[in-house]
Amino acid sequence: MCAAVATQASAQSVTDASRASVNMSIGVPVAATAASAQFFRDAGQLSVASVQASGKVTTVVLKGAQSGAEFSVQVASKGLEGSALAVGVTITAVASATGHLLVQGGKALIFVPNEVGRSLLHHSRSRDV
Amino acid sequence: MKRLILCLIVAIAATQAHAGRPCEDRPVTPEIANHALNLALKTREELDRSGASVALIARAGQDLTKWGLHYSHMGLVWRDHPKGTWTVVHELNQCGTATSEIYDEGLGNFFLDDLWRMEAVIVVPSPEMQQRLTAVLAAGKHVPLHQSSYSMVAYPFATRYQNSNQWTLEVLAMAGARDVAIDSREQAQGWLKMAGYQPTELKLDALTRLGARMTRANVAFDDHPNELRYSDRIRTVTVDSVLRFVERREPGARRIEVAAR
Repeated sequence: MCAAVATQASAQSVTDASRASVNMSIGVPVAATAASAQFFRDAGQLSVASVQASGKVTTVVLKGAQSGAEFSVQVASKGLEGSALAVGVTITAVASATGHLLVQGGKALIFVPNEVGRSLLHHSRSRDV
Repeated sequence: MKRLILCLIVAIAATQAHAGRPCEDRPVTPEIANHALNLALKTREELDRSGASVALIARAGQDLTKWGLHYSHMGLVWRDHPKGTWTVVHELNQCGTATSEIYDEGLGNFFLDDLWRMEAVIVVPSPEMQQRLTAVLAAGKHVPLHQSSYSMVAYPFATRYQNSNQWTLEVLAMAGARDVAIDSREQAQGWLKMAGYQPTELKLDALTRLGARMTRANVAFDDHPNELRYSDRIRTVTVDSVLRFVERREPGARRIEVAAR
């Protein structure tokens, strides 16, 4: 799916791709990692265990109150600017056919696609084979 | 992992390129994103059910009802695309600039990019046409038919500019011409004329044309014949005109309309 991007990345276009990432928005940042529905089913209430920004990518670790399991999601840092995401914040996961929307205080923070959602999202130039 | 993150991030960058409207800094709400992804999912289910290997796909990205048009933007959707099942191949204008590029995108990106109505239309051509279209796409012959100079209202029988629906139409011509090999836009347009393609004619007076030309980089009229332009008749390739052409040439083509749940 991502051959073109990988090729660009290895050809010094990493910065270009990253720059593109910080400029984009679909209203809510989309996690790069897909989570299983099982995690959300078992988790019960979610809370934010950690938030670590590393350049243009931020890793957010979520913890299920019921299961104690942790799951980390990675999103473009810019997508989280001004968001209420912080350690200890309680999160609700709203399920859809394509993934889970992480909501806090009625405001959507991150979309975590499932495999179906991920399969619907890719983008590259046709000339980049 | 870094590559994976870049993949996803670049995937969402589709919202940066639009089929003929500026890249407004207009956030798509989570509700709209959810609807668009549901429409993408439903469209994929319909494509699976159709048994097609390739089809035409169009969305209703802008309100064109004042022109009597329903759908705004069209591309091809190919089941066995090497970059992913049911990948859309289409021309996108770069954020209201005067240029465009051909992109391969997931159905989610296709609908997240630009929606006015949560609706899509799929047209499944005849099995023979599907085979010919697949051969064109697999050989990468669709890319050289692209002209990067973009005009939203490009004249259908000139090669100075190209709009997104025109590129799709010219790829259809390349695949559909049985008696002659088509390798260029000129040849594709010649074949389309011969095959009886009828563009949409918009009534655009001089003031409207001037206003559009001055305020929009992606609108030009200097490719239109003077006798049409100066009588306010602007002919261009629209989704509706392509659908009419395909359905007239291929009575067996199936139209499937999809709306978000």
